[in-house]
This record gives sequence, structure tokens and C-alpha cells, in this order.
Amino acid sequence: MTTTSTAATGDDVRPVAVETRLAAEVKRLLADDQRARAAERFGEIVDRQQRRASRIAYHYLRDPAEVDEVVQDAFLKAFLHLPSFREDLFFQLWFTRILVNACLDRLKARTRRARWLVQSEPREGMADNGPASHEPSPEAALLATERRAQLESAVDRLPARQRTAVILSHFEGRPAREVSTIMGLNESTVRVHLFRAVRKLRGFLNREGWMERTPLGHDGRSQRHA
Amino acid sequence: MNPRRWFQPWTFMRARWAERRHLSDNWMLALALSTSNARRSDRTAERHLDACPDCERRYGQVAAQLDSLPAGASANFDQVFTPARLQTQRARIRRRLDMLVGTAPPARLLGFPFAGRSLPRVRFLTDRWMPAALAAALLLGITAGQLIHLHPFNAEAGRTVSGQTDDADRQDSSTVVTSVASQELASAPESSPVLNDLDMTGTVELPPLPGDEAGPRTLDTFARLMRDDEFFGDLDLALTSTQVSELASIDALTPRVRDLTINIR
Repeated sequence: MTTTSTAATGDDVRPVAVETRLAAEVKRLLADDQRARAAERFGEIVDRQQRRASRIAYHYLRDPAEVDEVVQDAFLKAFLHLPSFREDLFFQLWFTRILVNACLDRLKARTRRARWLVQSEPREGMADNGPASHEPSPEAALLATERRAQLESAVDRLPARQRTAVILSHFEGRPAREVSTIMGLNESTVRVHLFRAVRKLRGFLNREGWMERTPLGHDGRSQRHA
Repeated sequence: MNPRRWFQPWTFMRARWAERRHLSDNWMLALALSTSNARRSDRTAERHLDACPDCERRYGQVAAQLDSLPAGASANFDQVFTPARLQTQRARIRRRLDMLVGTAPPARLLGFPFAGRSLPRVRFLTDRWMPAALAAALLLGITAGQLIHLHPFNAEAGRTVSGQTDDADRQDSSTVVTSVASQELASAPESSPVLNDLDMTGTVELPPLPGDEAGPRTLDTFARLMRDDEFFGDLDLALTSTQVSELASIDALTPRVRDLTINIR
């Protein structure tokens, strides 16, 4: 049974413990062949993890329809493989690993399809067509859309491991220890991947003038990590 | 770390020199991402940032850029994934879970193109009579074909030419070629009752010869008949080969056979 003392970080102790406890309960119910009850309890895990999972998948795929499919498949796969879930691990990390692998598989399939198919118009609701947030004027909205497209393009150009490192560690704010568990790599290796990824991102974005348009004006000292 | 090392002149000078050196972009990046494993270099950089306004300003820019990355990456998420969409997604996951554990009814199949309405069933009798009629027609066709093969019709042409005698009516001439051969037999100078009864298909019906109506046929009679049969076989072959266009050049070299054919026609 996972307890709060095994949590990876101090600020995420409570939610991680709750989901791990729920996962352990679902595992027991499945072992007792109470499948309906297990599915009902697993629904609570879905309620807790769905938004975060969708956000991570959206970083990878940028297509809401594909994000829906990947998130659904990842939850079902997690439910099916819960009997093999180790209770000394965090469910969140275990599930994120399933999700990230599903996203990478989907990206590979998309790359294979792109070799043979003509590029179609972007779907409705995709990131490129979405309205800009908190931008009142059309010019500002256009600029925000362009900046977002440049950033997404730069992230898409990263190798898979660097992309995973920057998404989980920098975009999602997960600590390096968790990211290393999810990726199955050493913590130092994750840091190296993160550093290289951000350096590449800056290189890509500087080339397109993205960084010059970033609003400044806050104290850099306060952004320094301890 | 050994504190005595800091009192060594060289180490002290190197540390002071490092603190005076401006920070590179990569160093700032590593500091902002806290990806560096060297705590000592981080402390050196922090001391330099305290003392150098230029590097402090550059560090502020780097940190601002890094902060803008996650915001830019997830700016569109809240607008695309509204609570209603997430609720729909959650309902789908729950439904698939229920189907997985068997608590939800299976999906209903809709008939195409009548959605929601079942297609009318084809009547049983129609199902049964259609193949029965086809089988009966096939059986009748096979039977008729067999009857025609066993009792072929007598060609009118052959009958009119060879109908002068009663013996010719008894011929079993199943092909036109046989009829033509019978014509040739009728007009041949050495025609005999025996020749009139010859069948070009190979079947020979031997009539009684003059002077030998009741007795057994001799070997000479058989030899003569076989010679005649052989002759008419060659004749039949020559007649039929004229129909082949590829053999026209060979036919041109055999004028007697062509003349014979023309005479017969």
C-alpha cells in the first residue's frame, strides 16, 4: 500500500497517494472478480487524471480528436493492466508512462501516414485555428496565433526523448525525479535532455524572432530556482 | 569539501576569476532550468549575477523566455478542451469501461440504408423455389443434350442427295462432312452397294455381296473393303483440310484433290 511517505515531491503527496490507493483498491476488486465495482472505482481515477492527461497529450498531438482517442485508450489500457500494477509505484507516474508511449506511437503513425498522404486542411479546433487567448485586437490575436504555431513547430522538431523531457518537466512542471521514472532514465540524463531541448528550442525560436517579441519586465532573480 | 583548499592561493584566484567572468547563455539556461549538477558553479554564477547588472538583465530575459514557453504551449488548451468536452470524454471512457466489464449492453447495429428499421425478410418459398427452378432447368438441358447426342438429326442435304436409294436412308451420317462424302460415293465411278453403305465416321456396315448373300465373307472381300475405307478416309481428310486456310498453299500443290472438291461441289 502506497503511503504519503513514499511520495516523490512534497507538494504532490496527497493527490498521488489518493490515486495510488484507488488503483490498489481497483486491483484488489479485479482480483476478486468484481469487475463492475472495479470499473466504478476506476472512474474516480479517470475524473482526477483526465484533465492532466489531456493536457499532456495535447502537447504532443495538437489535435483534439486524436487527444480524445489517445486519452481514452490510455485509460482503458491502464485498467486492463492494473493487475500488473506495482503498488510501490505511483499510479500517476505509471499512467503517464502509458500515456506518453501512446502519444509517441500515435506520432510515429502520423509520420508514416504523412509519407503517403497529401496534407489536408487542419481540423476544426486544432491549435492553428484556435482563437488567441486574452487578446482583444485582431492583430494581437494574429500575433499570438503565429507565436503559438512557431512554438509548436519548434517543439515538434525536437527528438522524442527531449520532447518528453521538456513537456513533462518544463511545461507540466514535474520534478526531474518523476520524469526520470516516467521515461525510465537516469535523473541526470533527464536533466541533460531537458537542457538540450530548451537550448534547441531557444535556437529555433530565436531564428524566427520569437524571443525578441517575448514581453519582458519581470525580475530575473526571482525566477532562479533554488 | 576541504575548507583548507580555499586558502590556497591558486584556488582562490581561480574562483575569483570565475566570478568576474560573464555568464554564457548556456550557463544561464542551465541555471534557470536548474539542470546543472554542479552546485559550486551555480553558487559562482549567483555571485556573479549579484555583482554584474548586465548579466542580471540577460538572465531576466532568459527566465522570461523560459516562463513564456509553457504558457504559449498550453494557451489554447482551455479553449479547445472545455468542461463540456471533458465531460463527454469522461462519459465515453466510462461507457467503454462498462462495455469492457460487461455491464453495458452491446452496441446496436443499424441496418443500411434504413437506419433504425430492420430490413424485410425474404420469403422462405422464394428462397426455396429459385434454386429448385435453376436445378430443374439445368437437368432438362443436360437431358436434352444427351438425347440430341444419341439421336442426331439427319441432315437434309445428305438426305436429298443420297435419298435415291433406300440404303442411303439407312446411313447414320451425323456430320455434314459425312453427307458430302456420301455425295462423292454416289458419284464415284467405282461405286458399289458396299460403298454406299460406308460411314465416314469409321463404322462400316457390310451388306451382302452379289453371289455371296448367305455365305461368310472372304479375306479378299475384307481387304478390298479396307482399301476402299482407306481411300475414302484419305478423301475425307483432303476435303476437310481445304477448310483450313493455313493449308491453302499445300492444297495449291495438289490440283487433283482440289479438282475433285470442285467437282463434288
